[in-house]
Amino acid sequence: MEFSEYERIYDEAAHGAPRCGRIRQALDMALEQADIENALRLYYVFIEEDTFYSDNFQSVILFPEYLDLFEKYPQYHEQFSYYLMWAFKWISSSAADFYQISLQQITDIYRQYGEYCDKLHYNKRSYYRKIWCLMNNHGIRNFMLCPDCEEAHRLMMHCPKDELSEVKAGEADDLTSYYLEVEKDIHKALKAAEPILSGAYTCNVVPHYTYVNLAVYYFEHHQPEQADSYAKKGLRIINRDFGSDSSMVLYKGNIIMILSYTDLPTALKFFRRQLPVCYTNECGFDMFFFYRGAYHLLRNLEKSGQKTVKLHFPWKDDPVFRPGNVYPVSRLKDYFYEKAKYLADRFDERNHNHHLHYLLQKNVSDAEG
Amino acid sequence: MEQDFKFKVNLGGMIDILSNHLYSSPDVFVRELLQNGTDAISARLAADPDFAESDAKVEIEVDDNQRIVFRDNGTGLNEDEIHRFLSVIGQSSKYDIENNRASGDFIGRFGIGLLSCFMVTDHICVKTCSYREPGTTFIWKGMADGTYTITRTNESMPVGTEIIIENNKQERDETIDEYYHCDHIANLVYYYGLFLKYPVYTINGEEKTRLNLKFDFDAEKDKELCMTLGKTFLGESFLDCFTLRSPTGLFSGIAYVLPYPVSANVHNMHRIYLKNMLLTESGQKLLPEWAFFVRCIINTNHLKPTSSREDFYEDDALEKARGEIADIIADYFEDLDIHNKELLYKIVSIHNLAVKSVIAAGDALDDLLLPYIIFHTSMGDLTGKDILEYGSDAFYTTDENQYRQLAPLYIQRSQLLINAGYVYEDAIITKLAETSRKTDIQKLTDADIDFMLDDSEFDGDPAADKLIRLAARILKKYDCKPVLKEFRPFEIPALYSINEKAYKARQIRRSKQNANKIFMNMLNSFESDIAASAVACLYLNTNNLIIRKLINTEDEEKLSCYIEILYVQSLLSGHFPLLNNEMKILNENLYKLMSY
Repeated sequence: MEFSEYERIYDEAAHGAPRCGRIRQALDMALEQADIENALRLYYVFIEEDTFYSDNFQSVILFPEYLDLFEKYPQYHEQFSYYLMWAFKWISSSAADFYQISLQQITDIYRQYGEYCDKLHYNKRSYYRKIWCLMNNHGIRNFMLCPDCEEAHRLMMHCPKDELSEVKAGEADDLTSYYLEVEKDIHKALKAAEPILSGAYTCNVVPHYTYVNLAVYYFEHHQPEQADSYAKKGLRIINRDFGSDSSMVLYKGNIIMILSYTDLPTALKFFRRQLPVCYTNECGFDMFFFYRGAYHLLRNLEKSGQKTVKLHFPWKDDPVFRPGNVYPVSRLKDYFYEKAKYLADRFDERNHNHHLHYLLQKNVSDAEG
Repeated sequence: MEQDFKFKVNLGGMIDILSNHLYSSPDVFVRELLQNGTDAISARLAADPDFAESDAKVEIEVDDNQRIVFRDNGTGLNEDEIHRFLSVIGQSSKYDIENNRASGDFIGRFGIGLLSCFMVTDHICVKTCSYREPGTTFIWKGMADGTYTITRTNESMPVGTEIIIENNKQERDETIDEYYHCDHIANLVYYYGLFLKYPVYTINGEEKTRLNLKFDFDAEKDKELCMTLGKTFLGESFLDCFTLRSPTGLFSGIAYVLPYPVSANVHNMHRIYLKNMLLTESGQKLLPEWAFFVRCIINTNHLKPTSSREDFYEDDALEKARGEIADIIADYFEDLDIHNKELLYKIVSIHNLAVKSVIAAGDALDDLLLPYIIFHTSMGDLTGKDILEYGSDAFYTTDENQYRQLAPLYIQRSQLLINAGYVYEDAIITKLAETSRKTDIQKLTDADIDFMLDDSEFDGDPAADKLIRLAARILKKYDCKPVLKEFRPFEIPALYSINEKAYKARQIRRSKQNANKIFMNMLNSFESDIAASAVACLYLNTNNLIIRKLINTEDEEKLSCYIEILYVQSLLSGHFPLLNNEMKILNENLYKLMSY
């Protein structure tokens, strides 16, 4: 079968889970026919789709199959090494965002990724980036593979770029994050973000991420006007990104949190739209931020005097579910706080720190000045 | 010790690079000269109060001696300007050196356009008379080897500039000869400069022909003319057209609605003019991404072209222009909604996918277009309006396989199940749910499926209980529990339903079959985390004769075979990917039954 015939199976399916399901069908068909070349292609297509339009969960659990097939057919190594490594890069980064995976398991996966970099002749820039992102995002100190976050960043910057490096937009966004989150220097961050903000560099997730990261920085530094402006830029572009329904959940959560302080009606409208499509996201780390955003929103609705809120609550088996779609604000606020706290417990236990608990409490006091 | 050095430039080589490699074809020399002439006229209109727009013109004369003269009555150049602008590569008279920016009135800005003439000649002769020094004429002669001369003459010429090129290229190329024919030059003027602001004429002996039009069309008033223009320049017939006019003066033009559906991935090519000069026939960036159901001819005066001149820089102005075009398309639909509903239905039915993407993209058109969108449902194809007026509970699924599996059940119950498994439909159905007052539109969950199926009349029947106990034992290894229910159509004996978590548990089990040790540990961690909440159900339909027969079957060995066959068959009919052993189970059980 030609690859285009497989493509037809998923071509018109909606991005995210529906398309992943159809790609999976195409993949099964290729495997059934022992069409290894196209099966290897379709594994990559699946993981790419799940990475950019869904929660990465399915690609994390599918990847072992992909790796196994790749190893069984060395004649395809030259043709597919690049794709395998990108898929490996994505899934190993995502793995850290699932609390179910222990730090030891993450270490093992990263180490194996590093070994594959050597084996397939790539340098270690993407490997160090992975370590830096893990340590920075999860507030981890003294990770087994590197003593500290700054050192991982330094090692990453020291390695030359290669085919596994981020695209220009991704690199610029990374650097912006580094200045915002590690050095906390907004001037350097804005300079690094300049090609993104001017529109010269874009990719699947940039400028979305950059806007929201800047919004969070301004929010935490008590500059609500700038925070609002960047959060709304992020919101506009995410609204336009039709395929992003169950992805970018972390960023959506941050937008909801910020706008709940600067523009409550817009925050509520965005939340109402996102809740029915985001709730299936299995990525605990991303969902922590979504629940935290929901908690802030409901807290601010309560403070504004609103007693009830109308929305489609997706967990129909949950005792909180009400058939009429009208919910007491106070009850929902507690509900989402508990959900965020549950995830914070899981991650902080795994990471041996209090990072997410700190974030859960921190922004409430930040916003209140 | 640090020393300063200066680069040395091989001028002849530079000219060769610029003229033979920067430009894709010699054709562009016509564009560059038209551009220079037009800019010179704009400059004169701005600076010379005695010069009126009605006097402005560009003339192109092609004579029998294989000579082309481009003539404009713009500012002209004085000696100083000749040295500065004609003889320094990269310097343009349109560039405000002191302020380090290009003036907005001019098309060109790179100062290298004149060099493109070296693609069709070895000598360029420029005769020029500045409006500041009327009566003084300068002749600049530039050679392809990088040398030039300037002569001051008393020969009188009107204010303006003449560029004279002759067919004298040493490296003979037959295709060059074509450029020295009036018709060929006229075609190129027509191609690049049809909409130039000032009149452009060709002079061929006694014959003087105007070649351009004023770019000021109103598709509503001159529909026929605009449709003809679209067919001529975009090469196809269209369903309709409408005017694109920016409220802030960023652009003007005509948009054409394609008469056939196009894929969302298609990037339509638009014919884009920059300051009335053709910039590209394959521009893609100016229109919003979702507007793939239109092509357009458009002119802009304020957007910044990329240096390859194939499109525009992504900047605030481009973003603004895109936003304005989006608003104009919205207005067009609004107008059709009021005045021509039939055409709007036709457009939506042809461009269903594109219109869905318009709705998914923003809020502006929701109210207007949602009623026209067509969805596949258990009650046939319904428009958004039909769904909004349905007036009862409606469910949607984004999983097309689930839709195909469940639609027969919903059809039997005359209930509404919407297939939202195609691109954009998830986002659109969410919007529809937000605006709906009469119909409660919800995403289908496994709890809804359970609720929809009726309790079985066999509940509490000892034989049925025995069947369920046995089935529970057999299906436990598949993390699936059997439930007796009644549903229609009768022909379906069993229905497999799986919640998100159970579905993922199935995938984990599948992946574990091939995982190495490192990933096996990871998969085990996932599996133990979701095991408790991973529930799949096999609903056995007691309306179905096979299930009724099974209830009355005593032989447990045979029953086991039937249950496993039903399990695999329900997976297949639900299009669930099978695990390695499941197909084997089907075959083994069929074989066992054949042996009885």
